[in-house]
Amino acid sequence: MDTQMKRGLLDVCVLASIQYEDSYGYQIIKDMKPYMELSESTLYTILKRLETAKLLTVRTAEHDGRLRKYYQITDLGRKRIEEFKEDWKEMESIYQFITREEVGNE
Amino acid sequence: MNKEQFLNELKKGLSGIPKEDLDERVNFYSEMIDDRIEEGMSEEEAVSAIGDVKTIVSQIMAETPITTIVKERVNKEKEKKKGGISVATLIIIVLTFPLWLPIVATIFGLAIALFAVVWSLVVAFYAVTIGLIVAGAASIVWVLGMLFYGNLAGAGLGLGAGLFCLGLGVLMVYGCVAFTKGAILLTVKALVGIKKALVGKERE
Repeated sequence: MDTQMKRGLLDVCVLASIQYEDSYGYQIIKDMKPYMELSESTLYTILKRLETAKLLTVRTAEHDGRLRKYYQITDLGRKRIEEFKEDWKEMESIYQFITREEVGNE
Repeated sequence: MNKEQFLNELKKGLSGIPKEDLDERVNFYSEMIDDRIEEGMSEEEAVSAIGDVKTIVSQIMAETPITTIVKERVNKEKEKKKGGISVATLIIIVLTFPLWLPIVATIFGLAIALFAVVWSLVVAFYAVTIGLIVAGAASIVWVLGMLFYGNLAGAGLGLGAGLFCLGLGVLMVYGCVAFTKGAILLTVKALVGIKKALVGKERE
């Protein structure tokens, strides 16, 4: 897949994994596992990028005597998911065009 | 490999990136390992699930912009220099003091001598000028005296000498001003030079 496209897709996937509930690193990896294999390094980069773009916020909370970072989606992050859905519809119609069957000679 | 070994390897491999960034990444991997252990994995299993530390390091280094790495390197070099005089240098400076003390004293003495010469010249110049003007004023009294006794030749001599002294004296006032300015400039320059030599070029 085109890297630019993949990057955008990964961003939205991570945002989707926290859209209903705040989550933490390992939980996000587990949630995505059925759909795609996501390495820790990749996840770190995505989270950092989303945080910089203010699509999510990070808070540190104590868990079981150690610190854990929780990620919370922002309104801007939700907007990104909506935009993705719109883009996807557009992509779908383009896909229809690309894969259409020959209708026959006129 | 246990968690501590993994994190140490990671720190070592990523020593080229900014400290803040490094700490954040190390904490991230630490959390990932802890979360796996909490889920029931052994420490070894959790670490190996994260992946090969060398691969991770090279991936992160490849992702980090070269400018960030260069900047960090430059900052570290600067910090090293800022610590300035290292202990070793300090010991050398202290131990070689019988060697550099006479040299410093000589330079200091020469500088003071130079100031003394320049400023005494200035003072001498002023003295001569004042002397000339006083002599000029005195010769007027002389002229008046000579006229009182009817000695025209004496009065003429006094007038000539007096005008000569006054004229030269007035001219030398300009000389004094220029001379003083020059001496001040020289002193300031010398002081700045000494300060630079002592403090170093830190401000640049």
